[in-house]
Order: sequence, then C-alpha cells, then structure tokens
Amino acid sequence: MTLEQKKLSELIGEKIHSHQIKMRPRAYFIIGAILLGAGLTFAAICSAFFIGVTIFRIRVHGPFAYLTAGQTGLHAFLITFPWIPIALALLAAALGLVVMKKFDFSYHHAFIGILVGFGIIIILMGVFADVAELPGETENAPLVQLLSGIDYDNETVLIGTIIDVSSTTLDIITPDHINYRVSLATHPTITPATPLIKGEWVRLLGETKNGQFKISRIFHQKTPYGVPANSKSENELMK
Amino acid sequence: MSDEALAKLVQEKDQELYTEIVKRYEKKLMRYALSLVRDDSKAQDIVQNAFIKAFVNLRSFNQKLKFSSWIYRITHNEAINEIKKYRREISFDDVPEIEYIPSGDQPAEAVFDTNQMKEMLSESLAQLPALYREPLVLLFFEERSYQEISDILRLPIGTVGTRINRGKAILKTIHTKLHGNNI
Repeated sequence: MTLEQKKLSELIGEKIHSHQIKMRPRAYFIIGAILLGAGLTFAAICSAFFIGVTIFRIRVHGPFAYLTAGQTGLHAFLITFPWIPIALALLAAALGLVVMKKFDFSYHHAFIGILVGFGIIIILMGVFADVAELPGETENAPLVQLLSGIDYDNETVLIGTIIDVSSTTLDIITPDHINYRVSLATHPTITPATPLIKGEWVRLLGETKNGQFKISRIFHQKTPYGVPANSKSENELMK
Repeated sequence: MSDEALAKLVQEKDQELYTEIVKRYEKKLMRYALSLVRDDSKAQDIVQNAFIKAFVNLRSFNQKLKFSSWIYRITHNEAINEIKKYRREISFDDVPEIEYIPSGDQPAEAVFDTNQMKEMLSESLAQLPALYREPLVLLFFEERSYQEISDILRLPIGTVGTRINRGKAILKTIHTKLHGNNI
C-alpha cells in the first residue's frame, strides 16, 4: 500500500468515523424518484393540455382561413393563431424530456427515439383532450384564459353565435356572453356564399375604426363540437 | 467478496468498511481521472470528491448493476465538472484539424493490435478530443466492456462503438503523422 493510498483511505475513514460525511437515507432517493416521476407526468399532462387547447383554438378560430383576406386577414391570423398554447406545449414537453434524461433507461436507447415516442404520446393525449372537450370546459377559468390567449373579440376579429340577422345588421353573442350588433352596410364577403342563419357560429373579419367594427368578411359554418359549454344551443337561438 | 456485496455490507451493517472500497478503487480511478484532466493534484481532488459522493449516495446504488460502472460514472461526472470549471481540457476546436487518412481495406484493429493501441493512446492522449478519449481510455486502460462504458458515459452502446471506432481511426492518423507509415 502506497503512502498516498493509505492517506486517502484513512482520510475518508476519518470523515466517516467523525460523521463529517453521512450516507443519505434510502427515503431520500425514493422521494426523489417519486418527484421525478411526478414531474414527468405533470409535464406530459401540461403539454398534452396545451396541445388540446391549440387544436381547439384552430378549430374554433380557424386562423388559416384569414390568410386569404389580405393585410387585415394577416393581422387577424397573427392575433388568433394559438402562439402561446403552442409555446407552452413545447416548453412543457422540453421540461419533460429534461426530466426523462435523469432516468437510467433514457441512455439505453437513442435519444431521438425517446423524443419521437414522447412527442407522439403527448400529441395523442392532446387530441384526446380536445375530443373530450377539455379546453372548451376549462376556457372560462382565468388562468386558462391568460395562458391560452383566448380572445373572441378584438380589433380585427369577432367570433360568436348569431342571435339575429337582417339585411342591414347582425347580432352576435360571444362565448363570453357579450352581445354585439354589427352593421352589414359594408357588404362583406360571405364565405361560403350561403345565407346566414340564427344559431350559427360565425367569424367576422374587419377593422375597428372610431369604436365601430366594420366587417370586410364573414366566415360562417355549423357550430363546431367543443364550442364553450356556456354558449346557447342552435335550437334556443332559433326560437 | 465482490464489490456489490461489500457495498451492501457498508449500506446495511458497517459504514467504516467503505475504506476497503477506497483501497480497491483508488488507483484505477486516479488513472482514469488523470487521463481526463492530466493534472495530478486535480485528479486527486476529483477522486477524493468522487469517493465522498459515492459514500453519501451509496444507498442509491442498485445492487443489480455493477458497482465499478457506478463509481466510474461518479468519477467521470466529477472530472467533467472540474474540466468545465478550469477549462484545462484541449477542446475539439483547439485541436489542429486532423486529416483522416483512410487505411484502405483494413480496419484499424487489423493493422494495430491491442498493445499497439495502448501505446498509441498513451503517446497521443493529449491530442485526442475528449469525445473519443474517454471511451478509448475506458476500453484499453480500464478494460471495461462496451456495456460498462455505456453505463459509465450514459451513452447507447451503438454510440460507444461508433466513438471507439472513430477514436481508433484518429489515433492511427495521429500515429502516422508522428511516425510516418512505420508501424
């Protein structure tokens, strides 16, 4: 045994004997593993939820349709596209991958495989969340509204259900229960070119000038599934 | 007594038996740390810290795995922390561009045997990027298997194989530059 060997083993022995260094209890590692697992699960759920919100927003707001409507449409697209939910979904997924790297299984396989597998799982979970109408059910919660950026009325877009329609005006109620009466005097383009009916879900594209919303285009369609639960049903509105 | 059985004994019965583990591994870990940081006093600090960390976290050691891989992994992490702290390592960017000279039809291992590889590695350690140095040192000097290297470096086995092959090719290129084509 060399002098240095003796010194190091003696040094460590002395530290152990004098309790300068102590072994962590098993519970420490068990709790750590539980917290890691909980962290991974939480990250996956958050990511899946925001993917569900993204899908919901794209279905309900239909941002891509605005791209055919020039400058105003581009502005509407930028406002209604679910940037925040996508960013939050990606952030949560990234955190999940960071946590996953702590597990021993993660290096046994090529990380790209784990990345793809995790991505597929959370996308499927997000689709399921949307089909289960989870974003629609939770969208009135202040935190969800804040994080999802759901906005049914702004300077370029107005979204809601038709309460009443005449040749000159259109009455709309948003999912936030705000009533709007807008003028059709600007002769907006209606897509598809079919009559507007009461109880129908519409998206109005226009500009707010001097406190008035001037419509340039109306996108109308049947009320999509997952429309917020507080909206009136088509049958109620058509009475 | 195997390392795993000894570790279990330290965990459950007598913590002071840990000094036996220190005696068994000090030389090997010192050699490994030295190959990474190339500084005696830093290597000593790394090995001491590694033993302390291993003791503190001994109850996280899964006895179904190899103790040697576990303690080498801790030493590896300590060495990496030290390198990042002091930036003593020659980074891949600092190494002059080494032109890869294909060896023709024969793979590197057919031209150089294990002892020659060890010699080349000793000679050219400083010039080899850490990416390739680590697995080659573990393979030739520490005589670890590919699975153990995978566990120590936390890399898939395929990646370990790729880095070892690439490292051998670079070693051969360095050797050729230093000595010409005389083997």
